[in-house]
Amino acid sequence: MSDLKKKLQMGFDAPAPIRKEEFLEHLNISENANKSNLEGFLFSQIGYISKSAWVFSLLSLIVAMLGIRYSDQHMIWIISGMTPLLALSIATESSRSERYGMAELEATTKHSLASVVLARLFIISIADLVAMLVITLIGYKAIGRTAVPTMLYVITPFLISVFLELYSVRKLRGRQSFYACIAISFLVSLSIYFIEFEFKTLYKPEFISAWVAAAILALIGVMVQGRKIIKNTEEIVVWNWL
Amino acid sequence: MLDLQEQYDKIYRYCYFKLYDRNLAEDITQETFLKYYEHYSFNNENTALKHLYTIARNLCIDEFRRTKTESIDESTVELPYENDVTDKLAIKNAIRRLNDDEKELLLLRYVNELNVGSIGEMLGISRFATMRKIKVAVKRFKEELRKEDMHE
Repeated sequence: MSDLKKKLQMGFDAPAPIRKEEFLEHLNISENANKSNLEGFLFSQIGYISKSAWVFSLLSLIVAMLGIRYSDQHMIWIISGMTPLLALSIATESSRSERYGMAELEATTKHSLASVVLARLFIISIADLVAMLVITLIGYKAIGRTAVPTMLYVITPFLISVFLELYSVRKLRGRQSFYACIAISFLVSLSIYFIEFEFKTLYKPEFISAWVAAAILALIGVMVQGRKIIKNTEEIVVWNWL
Repeated sequence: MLDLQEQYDKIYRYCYFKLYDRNLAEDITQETFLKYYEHYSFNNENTALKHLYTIARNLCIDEFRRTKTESIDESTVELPYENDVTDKLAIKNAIRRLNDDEKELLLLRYVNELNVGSIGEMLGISRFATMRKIKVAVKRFKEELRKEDMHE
């Protein structure tokens, strides 16, 4: 320990607190009660996720499955282009409170807005990942490709869409962000169809490293944007205390 | 996971050196923890510390406003450990002559061992500005120590 630190610690020597143990004992009981309620809290949030988010995810999954069933063996791009639509449910759910002008009100409730948004995004992300896993597992045999590239083709457009949509949710206000998310999903989806239809190069084996790079970059982007959204919602709470 | 025992002492010390009142400092420390747990059920340590200090700071400011005292005159406050060794008294005197902002920065950085980023976020200034202010505060503290005939 440096000499400066020692001197400062000596100088800032406060008298011992008197009611510490009693208070912390009481606080620990409340904290343990909160922890045991975590699972209940997560389950309770399932009911609050909008039905349209579930319906939309389910429709995207069904369309992708139909694509696998009825399309040509090499038409992976049909399934790949569908996943950005799955991303819509994540983006719209993350901005719902803000869109309806309820963000500040929700921030003053027992569970902060940050934990509510985080819980809902966690639930939808798990549901979407399961959907994509199902698409990959069924798709890679039907399409005649190996599992890893199929997974990449399915997950990369999804991650790119989530990244762009979370960015727009952070930057735009109210219903603007909702429309921007719809536009982004369709834009990513149509771009994939257009590039593949025009150039027929996107799904060639020599481009696999580009897909890996795109997936990693998009994943980092999603994590950064997600972190910023949670931070913003936490700041609403701090702002309320000022 | 946040060490509550350790953080209680640190928040209490922070409040004590803002208010110079043992009971009031402890009341505000407890209110800080209660307010924190009212709003956050789970969180990481860095975020938790930032919020705990922000709440404590705001509650201390509220207390100043309530008592209509912008800055407590420390020379009138009876410090409990004044009968300690001469060195300790000299250090306390040197600290006493620093301004409130300098005292706050030194306490947060070197006594409560908060990182520069968290201090900056809490005070609403950049990391660079925080580092610069800490450097100035350290320099001032060393100057005051020299006046007390103490080598750094």
